[in-house]
Amino acid sequence: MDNACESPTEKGGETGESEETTAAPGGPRVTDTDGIPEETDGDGDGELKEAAAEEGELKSQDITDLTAVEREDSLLTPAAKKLKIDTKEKKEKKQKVDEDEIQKMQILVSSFSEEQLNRYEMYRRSAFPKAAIKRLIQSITGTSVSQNVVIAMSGISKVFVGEVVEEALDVCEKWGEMPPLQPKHMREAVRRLKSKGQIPNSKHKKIIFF
Amino acid sequence: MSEAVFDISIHFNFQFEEENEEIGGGAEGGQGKRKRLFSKELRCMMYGFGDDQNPYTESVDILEDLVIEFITEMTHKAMSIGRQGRVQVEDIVFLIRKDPRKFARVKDLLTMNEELKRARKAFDEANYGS
Repeated sequence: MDNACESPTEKGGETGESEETTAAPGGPRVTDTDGIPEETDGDGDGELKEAAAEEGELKSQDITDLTAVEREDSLLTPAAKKLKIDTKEKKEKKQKVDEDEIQKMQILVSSFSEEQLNRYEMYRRSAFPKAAIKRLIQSITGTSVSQNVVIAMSGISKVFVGEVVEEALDVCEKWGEMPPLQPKHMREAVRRLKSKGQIPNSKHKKIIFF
Repeated sequence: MSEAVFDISIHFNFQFEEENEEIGGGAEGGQGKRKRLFSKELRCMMYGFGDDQNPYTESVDILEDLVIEFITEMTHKAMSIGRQGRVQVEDIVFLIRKDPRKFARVKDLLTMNEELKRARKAFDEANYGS
């Protein structure tokens, strides 16, 4: 399948390296998806207070001077403008963060050894065959599914495999053994992930009140 | 309807705890007589995620059963929410919302797919003009 095997000492250090590689795509994105909603919420609260204060001011003016639309516009514009500028700034900041991340990845990949390059290539390129996934899903639903569903499902399955393999490697290291992974590592990994709630299981009927 | 759904999952016998990984044995381990769907791809994936270059066949089998069970669970759940009886992308995104890694991955994949479709369309239109 691949090139000749490397020395065992490399493999030991390798495991940590490839785990970092797999963690990196997940890490920054976690902070991004978590960070941005919090920021908008904080700003949104400020906006509401500003808009309410302005509405109070304007109502004290002569109402016949402004039509309903103009009043709404003059109410909305400062708040809406500020929101627009904020989201634009956030988008620019996010793009800059992406560019930094891309640069750092390029520097990292350029300093890989050959074994690491092989592994990274396998990590990026391996994927589930779309036809088999589509056939599997359609055999379960009985109806046809769209292409996007197949893409999403294959992507999630690959992340799932990554989580299990990483946990199994943790278990293997903790037990003081070496890869290749054995079924006992896999089973212990699944047991741990199940307690964390990462493995969906809808066979067991939950009894809430009794 | 839900009983039929349950029947299917029991029939496939996904309880991998009962599985015996006999090498070449005739025992019904996990999938029973089902052919291995993802052996090659899973081997590459395991190597990419940090395992040995040649992972054990039993581990690959366990992973394949896990993946099929995962996909089956997600499909059943997606069928029960949103539009009943159909699996749609929105349902999958909803089910995945609590898991940051998977959620981010799905968002990226769908965004990239849209971009690629747009690029291909623009490319085809450019060709059509010339």
